[in-house]
Amino acid sequence: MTQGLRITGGDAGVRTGDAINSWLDVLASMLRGPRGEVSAVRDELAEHLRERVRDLMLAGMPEAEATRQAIGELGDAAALARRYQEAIAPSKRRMIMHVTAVSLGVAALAVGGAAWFQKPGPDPARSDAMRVLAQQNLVLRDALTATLAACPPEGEAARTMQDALATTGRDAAVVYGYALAPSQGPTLRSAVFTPEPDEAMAAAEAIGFTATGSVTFGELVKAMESAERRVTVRWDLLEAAGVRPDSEIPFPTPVTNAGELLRAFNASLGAGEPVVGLRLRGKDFVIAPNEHFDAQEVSLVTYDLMPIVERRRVTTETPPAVEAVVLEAIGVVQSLVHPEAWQDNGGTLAHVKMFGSKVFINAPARFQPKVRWVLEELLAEPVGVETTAGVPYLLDIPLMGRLMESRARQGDAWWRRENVAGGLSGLPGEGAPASGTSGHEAGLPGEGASEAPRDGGKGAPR
Amino acid sequence: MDILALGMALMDRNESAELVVLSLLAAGRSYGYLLSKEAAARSDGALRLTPGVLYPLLKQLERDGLITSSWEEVKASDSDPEVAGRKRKWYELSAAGRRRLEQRVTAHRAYTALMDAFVSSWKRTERTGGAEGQA
Repeated sequence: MTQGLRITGGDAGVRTGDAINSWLDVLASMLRGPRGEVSAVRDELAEHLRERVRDLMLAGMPEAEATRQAIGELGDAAALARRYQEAIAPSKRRMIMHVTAVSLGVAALAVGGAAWFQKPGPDPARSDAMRVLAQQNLVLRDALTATLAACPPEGEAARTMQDALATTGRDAAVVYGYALAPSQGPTLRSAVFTPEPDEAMAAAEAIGFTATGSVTFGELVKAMESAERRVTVRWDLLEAAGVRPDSEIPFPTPVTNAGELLRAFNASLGAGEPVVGLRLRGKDFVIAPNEHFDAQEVSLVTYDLMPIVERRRVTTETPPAVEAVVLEAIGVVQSLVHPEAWQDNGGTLAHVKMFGSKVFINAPARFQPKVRWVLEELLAEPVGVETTAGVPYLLDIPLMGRLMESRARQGDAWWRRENVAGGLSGLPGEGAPASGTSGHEAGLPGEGASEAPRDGGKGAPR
Repeated sequence: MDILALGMALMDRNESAELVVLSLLAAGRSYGYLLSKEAAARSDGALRLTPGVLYPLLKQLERDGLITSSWEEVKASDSDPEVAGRKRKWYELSAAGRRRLEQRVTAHRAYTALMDAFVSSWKRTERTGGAEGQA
């Protein structure tokens, strides 16, 4: 049937528009999807055909022949419709390759045995997938096997993985992404915010302080003074905040250092945010209300949230407007990072302005790491299986992203050396030319093999 | 296999076609027919981005957020202003597409460099063995 649909003949007198429309009618009848989508495909191909016919006629070909050739170049209508359908939705073939990729990850785990991999559950499709793989992709399989066999412990393993990624390209990256995922089923990804180390607090914690019963704030200050460090206390500002030298510090559990005592004091003052702040100026301590430090340490930081917008666009059926996603992201930040401090929430310390996908955040410096963490987590948001059909691609896989960045920082020399030491020889030399058509294809699976469907919120371990 | 046939075979693989399309769009916005003409022109006709491969690929790249599209009405200067013109679909690389292209180029270069290491050593062996020519 499909052969008959391809227009290869026809009367010499057939009009270009008629022939093109007939062919497009046939194609459109085979496309499934919303009417608007089908009509867009039709419009685009109609324009292509008209332009092609025009160019062929300008080259001296009669109209009827030009029309036949232009349509002939589009190929079989059924095959084209099938390709379109595959482009819109994940095909069964892609599903099979997905299984292959996951299974290769399983094989990689078995071979490598790196301590930081959690062993996945049994996969009934594994043997079939491995058979397909053996037929299609010896080079990639061998590269993986050799790399993982030489896989040193954690840290080194990451480097070795990165080597193979750089040399085998995208498909290996996808495979490694699956290999690095903790299990085969969808998992809930979680991450915990870790505050940056506070140097001043660490210095206070280094000062031993043992006491029972009640201690005053003045005694704490005295204990922090030493030959090495002087302590500057802004009593004027502290008193306005209700803190005086004779303020008592209750500590229900025994404390062992000045840092713990200061924390206990702040906790006893009851406010959500610690009232008394501590900073290091050179070697010396400065003690003042946190509000005072915040006002001094305001920083303006800009974030371009376009990656978050794009991630959201890829993972939702109806792409949201840029502003909608940015506003949503700002809402998350303002409700999680010192909520009471934002002007939008009635505070005075922090405010945010948006311009398109850009966000400017003017806030105390201590807020910024948390703001950044929240925004990065929005980018790492797991994707739903029902709305996506792509593959996690390099930087989309959290660990792969970190590996790529780490390699970019460290340059090329080390990974080549390490890799040779790890048992993989014949790695690329310096400055080799990039050829025209892709040598990249040579050892990789059949076409589209890397286009495994996204695996439904499977996250790499953090 | 001649170079043209090899090129055609490779272009039927979406992997290569994607790299070509993203590279062309990195130079500026374009539309389907223009992309196919540019691919042919840049390769002296050796590389043909056939419409049967190109258009579904554009659809897929758009779905994945790597390119964005917009429609333009095309009208001849002497046409009736009341009659709707033809529609042309323009494509542009998104920021995600630009990143994807960077990654693909990096991976592609590393891979060709790896292959070159083997190919060049094979040539040396041939020479020392005194064999003439190669396929």
